[in-house]
Amino acid sequence: MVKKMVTVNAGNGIHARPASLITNTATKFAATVKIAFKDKIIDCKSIIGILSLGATGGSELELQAEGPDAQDALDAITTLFESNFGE
Amino acid sequence: MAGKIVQEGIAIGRLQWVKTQETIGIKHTGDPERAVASFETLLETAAFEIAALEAKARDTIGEEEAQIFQAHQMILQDPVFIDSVRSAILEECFAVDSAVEKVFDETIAMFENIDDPYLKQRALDIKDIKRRLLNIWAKSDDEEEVLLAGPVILIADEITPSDTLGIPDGRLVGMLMKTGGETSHTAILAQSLGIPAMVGCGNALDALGHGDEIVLDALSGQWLINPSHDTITLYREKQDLLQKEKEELKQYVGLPSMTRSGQKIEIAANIAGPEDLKALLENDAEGVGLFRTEFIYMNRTEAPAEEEQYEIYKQVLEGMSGKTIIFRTMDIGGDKEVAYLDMGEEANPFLGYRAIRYCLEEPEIFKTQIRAILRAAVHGKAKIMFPMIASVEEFVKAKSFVDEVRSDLAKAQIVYSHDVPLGIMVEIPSAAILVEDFAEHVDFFSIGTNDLTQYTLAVDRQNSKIASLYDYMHPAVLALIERVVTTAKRKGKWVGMCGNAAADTRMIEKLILWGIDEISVAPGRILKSRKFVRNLS
Repeated sequence: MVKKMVTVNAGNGIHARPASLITNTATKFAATVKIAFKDKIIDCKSIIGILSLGATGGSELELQAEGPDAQDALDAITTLFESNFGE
Repeated sequence: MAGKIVQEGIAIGRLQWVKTQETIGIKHTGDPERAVASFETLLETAAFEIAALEAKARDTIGEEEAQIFQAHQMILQDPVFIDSVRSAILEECFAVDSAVEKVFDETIAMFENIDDPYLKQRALDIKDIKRRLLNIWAKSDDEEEVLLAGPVILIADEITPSDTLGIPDGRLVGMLMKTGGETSHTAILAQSLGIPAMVGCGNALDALGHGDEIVLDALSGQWLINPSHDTITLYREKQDLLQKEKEELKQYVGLPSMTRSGQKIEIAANIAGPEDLKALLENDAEGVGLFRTEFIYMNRTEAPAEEEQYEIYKQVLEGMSGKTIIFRTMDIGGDKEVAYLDMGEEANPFLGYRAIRYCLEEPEIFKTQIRAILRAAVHGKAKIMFPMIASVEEFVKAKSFVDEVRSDLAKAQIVYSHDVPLGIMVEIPSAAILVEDFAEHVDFFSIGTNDLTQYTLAVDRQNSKIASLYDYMHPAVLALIERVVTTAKRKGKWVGMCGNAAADTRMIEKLILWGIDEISVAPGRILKSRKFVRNLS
């Protein structure tokens, strides 16, 4: 399993649009990508799961990826966070 | 009056109460495997229906409405959701509808508990999907089967996007909702469809029964149950008149607001946010004379960040393609409360810690807004106006904060507009009396008649018992207005008016005589005011 810490830069936190971007990206990979935040761990392929994190601006999240293309999936999702979801 | 008018007009029709979802409760299945297969079929049917609604929404309402249904599809495909329902069926032997209800109710509760107004709003989407699934399951397509004949006024605790689209074209004539505010989905939809609607009506709606015929008068904010034949005739005439007037006013789109003798003024509009852009364009606003930015701070749990404000301001500036937008810095306090700003309770909030008085004590919040406006201003033409200014010192202090922000931005090499005039809203009598002194410092004036009247006459404008004393045509109020307009013009300063009085033809006539540059009215009043101005000699 590969892991990486990311920070939510978007002022509004992970609202619907970033959440749908994460979901769309995660479903392109065979690997399972999860986000751990506070006491929750959710699957990135679930938009409900991502929204339910309630991650606001400044939150630090841990990405965890497992599977054949785990590193690629992790990188793709990290890029989304780093580009501030194109906002 | 109970409730808030979000779209003006008159509607006559029968009340269609949106059926409240009946609770399924816990039911079990003897054949979980087969139940799972039925659940999959249910999802397919729902996806098919939603796709049809998405297409209909795109055709009849617009792209934004269609996107709501795209989000619905995404939620339906959500693996966590599907797995939760599946495991409720397989492991706990729940019947399909029980399992759907259980999983959705948990999800709805979760969203309603999120401390973010935007995400809270998403609970409505999930309720909408839940109802769709359960309706398909019960094969009672209630929207089709029990729809009343003739024109329908939709009434509910909360109206979902599917409810409105479920009614055949042209049959939906009005909407009434217990909950919701000016930014609710229903409000936005009513405005884009031009359907008379009131939201936030609360328990007053309990007196209205399914199938009752009513006249919804969303001009004065009331409804009449089972009106007599004569009443209906009266309101039909009113409706026709409104329609004719609206058609007739369209000819004034694109014409200058100029009197017969050639005196030209600008007719701008008052807005609360980008959602008003459509109305501005339709009614040919010549600018925005009052952007009530405090609305961006309301109905949320923390102050909007600079980026968020920047995006909103940019959208309005770009949407008005170069026409002037006057940003009134946030006017919180008085009748507009914002819990997270923690302003405390006051005996006389209208005379208290509000608007610029608060901003000058909380420079971080104030400067964040100024930064956002100055940065956004490169995308159009902006002016900044400070509310509740009573003395020249307050303006000077507010201006010094703007100067600080300008130099911070310059130092950080952040792009911002160097051409943003600063002015005041004249709404406290002292500012009107001292207009000559202010003219030495400010770039422009805009008269806010709502507060100016209340402060000059000592009449609380929210107290219905003394409503008859509230009169902006009172000689004392008029004397102050005349003083401000004529002095400003003599000093070569731009002056406008942005209160309710600006749409009153008696006031417009005087303002033009005194030499006003601009009036700013509700978007729906622009063309009417222009017509009046063009008929003046």
